[in-house]
Amino acid sequence: MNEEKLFNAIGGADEDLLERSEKKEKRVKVNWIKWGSLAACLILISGVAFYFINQNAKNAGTQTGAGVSGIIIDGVTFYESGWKTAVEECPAGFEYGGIVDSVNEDGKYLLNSKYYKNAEFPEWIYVYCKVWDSTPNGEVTSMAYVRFVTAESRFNDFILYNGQLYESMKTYSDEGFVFADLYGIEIETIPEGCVFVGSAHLEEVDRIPRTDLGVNHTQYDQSDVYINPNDSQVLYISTSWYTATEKEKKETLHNGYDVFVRYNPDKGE
Amino acid sequence: MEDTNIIELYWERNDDALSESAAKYGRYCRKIANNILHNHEDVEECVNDTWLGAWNAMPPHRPNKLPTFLGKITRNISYNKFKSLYANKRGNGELPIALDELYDCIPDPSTVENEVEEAELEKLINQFLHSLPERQCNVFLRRYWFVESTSEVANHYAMTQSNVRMVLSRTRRLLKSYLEKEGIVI
Repeated sequence: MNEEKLFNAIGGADEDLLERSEKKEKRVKVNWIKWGSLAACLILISGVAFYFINQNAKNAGTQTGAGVSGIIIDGVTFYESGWKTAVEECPAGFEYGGIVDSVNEDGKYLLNSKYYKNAEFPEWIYVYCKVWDSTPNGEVTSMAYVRFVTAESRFNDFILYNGQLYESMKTYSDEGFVFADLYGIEIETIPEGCVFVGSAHLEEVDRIPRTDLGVNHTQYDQSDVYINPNDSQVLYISTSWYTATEKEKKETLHNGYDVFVRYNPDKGE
Repeated sequence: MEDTNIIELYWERNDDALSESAAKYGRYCRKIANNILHNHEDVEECVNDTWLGAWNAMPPHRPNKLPTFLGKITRNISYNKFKSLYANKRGNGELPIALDELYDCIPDPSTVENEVEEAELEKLINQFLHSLPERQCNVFLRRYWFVESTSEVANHYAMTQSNVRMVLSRTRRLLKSYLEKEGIVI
C-alpha cells in the first residue's frame, strides 16, 4: 500500500535529524502551591465568571499576566515565555545584566536570580533559575536559562501584512467584544471576495514580526493568508482544529480560519 | 562504554558487542519496537534481532551515530513483524493510525506522472524534512518515524496535544503538495 511505502521511506530519515529530535524541551513550572491556590480561586469564581470568559477571547485571562511569573527591570515587566522552553547555556549575545530585585506576585521565586540581556533583543531577558523537568523517571529539578519577554510579545499572536500589524482575535481583548461579534474568532468560511495574498512564515516566537507575512506563533507557519479588499481592518489565516462532540462520536477535523484584526497598541492591554 | 568502542567490538567480531549494545541501547530500541508492536514477546524478539542485524551489518558498515543506526534496524524489523502479524488486518496501537494519517500525503495519481523508486522517495523525503523548521521536522519524525502517540510528542516538546495535531496536519498537507510538485506517484 502507498502509505506503507511512505512509512518505509520516512524510515530512511537522516541520522542527524533523528538525533536532533531526541532533544527534549523542558517544561518550566512555577510554584505548584501557588497554582493550587489559583485553581481553587478559579473554581470559586468560575460560576459568576463563566459568562464573561465565554464572551471574551480565549487567552483573555493572561492578557494582564495574571498567573504568569514576571520580573521587573527598569520599570518594564518581563513575563516567563509561554513557549516554556529553557536552555542549559546562556544564548549567544546575552550578557550579564544584574540581579533580579523586583518581581510580580507570581515571580517571587525569581528574586535574587541573575538576569542576562541583549541590546538587539530588547523584548527578551534570560533569567538563570530553577526549572522542573518531567521525565519518564519522574520530576527532575535543575538550573537553566529561562526566557522572559515583554507583555506585548508574550500575550499577542501577530502577523505583519503591508506594513500593518494584525493581532489574532484569540489574543485580543477590550474592543474584542465588538470585533468578535463583527468578524468572529475562529470561523469555517470567510466572506466572498477575500483574496489569497501568500503563505505566512514563522519569524520567531515571542517577538513582534518584522517582515511581510511574518508571524510569531508556530501554529501559523506556512498557513494561507487572505485579505478582504473591502475591509482593511481584518485578515484571515487558514487553520484547522478538532472537535469531539457526542454527535460526532470521534475526533473530527475542521478546516477554517483564524480571524486577525488591525493591532491597536493603545487599546489598553 | 563509548559508541566507538562498541562499534570496534562488532568489527573485531567480539560478541561482547551484543551485550554492550543491549546494555546501552536496549531501552531505546525496546521503546521503538513497542510503539509499533505493543506486545512484550514480539518486542523482545525484535530487539534481540536488532543486535543480530547490527552484527551482520558491521563490518562492512561503520555507523556515525550508533543509536539511530540500531534504531533504524529495530524499526525495520518491527515493521516487518507487524506486517506479518497483521497481514490484511488493521492491528492495534499507534501504527495503524499513523499509517492512516500518512495516507493524507499520497498525491492523487491523476495529477502526477512517474512512479518513484524507493531510494528516490527516501531522498525526496529527506530533502523535505531538511526544508522544514526544526520543531516541525521533529514533531513529524516523532510521530511517523518513532510512531509515538500525539500525547508523547506533546510531552516531548512541552506542547499541547492539539498543537501537535495541528503541526502534523499542516506538515502532511505540505508533504503532499511537495510530492505533487515533484510529479511522482508513490
